[in-house]
Amino acid sequence: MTEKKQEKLDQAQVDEYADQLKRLQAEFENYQKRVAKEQKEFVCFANEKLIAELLTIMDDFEKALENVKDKGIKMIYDKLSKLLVDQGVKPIKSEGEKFDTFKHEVLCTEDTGGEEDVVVEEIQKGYEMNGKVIRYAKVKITKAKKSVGGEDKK
Amino acid sequence: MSKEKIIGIDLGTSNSAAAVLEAGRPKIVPSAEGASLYGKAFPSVVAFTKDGQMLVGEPARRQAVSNPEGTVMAAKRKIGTNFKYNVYGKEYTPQQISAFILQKIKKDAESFLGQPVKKAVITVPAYFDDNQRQATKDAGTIAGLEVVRIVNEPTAASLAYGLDKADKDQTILVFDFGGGTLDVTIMEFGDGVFEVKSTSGDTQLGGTDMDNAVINYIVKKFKEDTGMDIGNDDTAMQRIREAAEKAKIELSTVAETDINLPYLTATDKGPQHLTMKLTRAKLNELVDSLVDKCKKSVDMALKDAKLDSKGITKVILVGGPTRMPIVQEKVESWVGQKVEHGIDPMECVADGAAIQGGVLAGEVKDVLLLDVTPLSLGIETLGGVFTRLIEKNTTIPVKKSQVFSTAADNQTAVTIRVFQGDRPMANDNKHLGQFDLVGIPSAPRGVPQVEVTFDIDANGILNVTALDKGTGKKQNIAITAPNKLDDAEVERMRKEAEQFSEADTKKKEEIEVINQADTMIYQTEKSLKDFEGKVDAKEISAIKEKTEELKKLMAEKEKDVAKIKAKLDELNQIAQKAATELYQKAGAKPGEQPKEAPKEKKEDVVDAEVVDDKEKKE
Repeated sequence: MTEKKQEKLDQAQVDEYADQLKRLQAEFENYQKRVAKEQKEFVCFANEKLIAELLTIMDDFEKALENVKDKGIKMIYDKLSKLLVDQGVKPIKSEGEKFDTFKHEVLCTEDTGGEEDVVVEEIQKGYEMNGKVIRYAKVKITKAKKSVGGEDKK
Repeated sequence: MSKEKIIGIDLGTSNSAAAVLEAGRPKIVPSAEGASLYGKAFPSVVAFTKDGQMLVGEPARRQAVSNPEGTVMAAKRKIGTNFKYNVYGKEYTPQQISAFILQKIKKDAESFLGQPVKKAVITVPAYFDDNQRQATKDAGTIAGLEVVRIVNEPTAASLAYGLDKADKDQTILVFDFGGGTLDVTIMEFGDGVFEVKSTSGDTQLGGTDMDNAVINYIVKKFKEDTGMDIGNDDTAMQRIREAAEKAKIELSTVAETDINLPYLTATDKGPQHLTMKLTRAKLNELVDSLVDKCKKSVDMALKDAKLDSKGITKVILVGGPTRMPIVQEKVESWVGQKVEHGIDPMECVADGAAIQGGVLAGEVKDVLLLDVTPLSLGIETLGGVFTRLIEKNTTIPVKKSQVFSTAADNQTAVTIRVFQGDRPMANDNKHLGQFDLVGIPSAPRGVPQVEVTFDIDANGILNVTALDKGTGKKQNIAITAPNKLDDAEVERMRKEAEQFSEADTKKKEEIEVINQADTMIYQTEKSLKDFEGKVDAKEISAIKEKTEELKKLMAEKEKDVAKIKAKLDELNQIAQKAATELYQKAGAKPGEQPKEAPKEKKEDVVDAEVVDDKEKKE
């Protein structure tokens, strides 16, 4: 390496090095910009992850309230709900709505004879946070019984 | 603008992912919908809705149950055949379906990179024939991507682990255990070429089976405990599925986890809760037979390659389920070889494809291989403490400066002693060299500003410069290749740093106490003059007394650090009270208190010691 350096660099090599340096600098600048953006996103995402975990506790509370009418439990539930609302979390409306794959996830279907693709049952409540879905609602939707099949249909 | 990027794509049967090289390192392109259960990858699902919308990835998966006739999964299994998907009266070839997935990847990559993407490297299983490879290439063309290379998935995984850089020949076993398939490949690497020796696998075995085993166990256990069958309760099953997946992931790092699902269901006897402990041992038992099924494929691959397990030099794991400790342990026992670690098994194929893309774009060659400093570099400061200027693992070239000061009044020279290592006391580290900076004008200690600069160039030559900021006097030393410690020496020093870390920290703390006490005495004696007449005489004499006591303790040959510390605290308290009183009377702000100044050197005769003066760094 050192020996090579002693030799006179020809112009082409100088250009190549300058070019390399510029590229690296550009890439670094872009990298910095993206890291800044990612950091912001990361904070949101980290929050989101924690809140998504809290949602299972909301589920537990709702199940509890269905079973026991206890004022104390209701109070804790209300407190947790308020905390979530303050963070910009709100439940997704599902039942009776038209199925939307950007809000709902179908777990099963039912033939009611009525209109198709309508959510008849919310199996697990979905939530969005500041306009972004953090948990998709798991739903049962209407569907006329027809042929069943998937990937291998000719 | 930087050079054109060639992205690497892992076009999988159940999940797909893409990566791109960034400053020589692969980075996964995040899916536009954000991270999912599958990490940054997304399901290889394409769907057409009745109202003519096309969906790719997560949105397609979420509607699959209600729209099976419009949803296409695992098109990879049909690629290269004459099969046609007929969806709502329109025909699609498997290439077209794959092209929709590639299009999404192209779009995600473009928004991630902020520049157009035109070229890609796509991976395929090692057993793909020419037809299947050509069809995969065609899929890329349809998506508007020029496929510059088709790479075998196991080769890509090996590239991610840098196995192509090995200087000796390797025989590599790649164990790719995905969501629904198992592929075992044995390859030989030599003269820069990977050659597939054998492949084997099971197209109906994967991580999904493991999840089901856990779910079934929970349902069975609940039935035993309560007599309730919840297999048909959708809500309950959804909660169990989520809890099971979470438990499985947790058990990769902990030995035991709780599954608590209150009010899972209700009977006439009242609500029923599910509460159970799941241990890793139990999980292992549940999936044991499934994992054992993989052995057949491993044995077959070895047999076809005409090798016994001793012939394998490297084992690479690919796919989410290989994160489970039991899978790693079993593979290790079958092959008799430790598996490679360090790269996310769900990302390594895409990573490897991106590396291949980088090589083809000429990018990899461009990246200078930058070295890092294996150990920290710094100088000795007051009390023999090692003060780091450059932390270990810093990428070079690098330049760092810090301002220090003198340790004694009227000190006119400092000795800069340069050390390398990671122990807190300088003398426990490797001494690299030293020099004096003379001609510093006489001044009270702590006043002169000596800037010490460490500069390591790309060749690893360390230049240490000391500059007296007052006079501009400068002195320096060049230390050739401080990084050229041999590996064994670096390793030994690192081990020592760990081994002695506790004792060293204690020693350093003791020295800090002594240094503090020293400063305190110096400061207090100075301030006493200011206190005269402004602070209660009783207080002044108390301060004097404590200072004398502290001085006595400090003068002892065998210093009792605990006693010094106690005395120091006492003195601190009364001195602070006096100072507050003084400032209150004078109406001055307490912020103007004297700086924490360095102290005189005790045990050494040479007073050419530099002192870390934190306040001057601003």
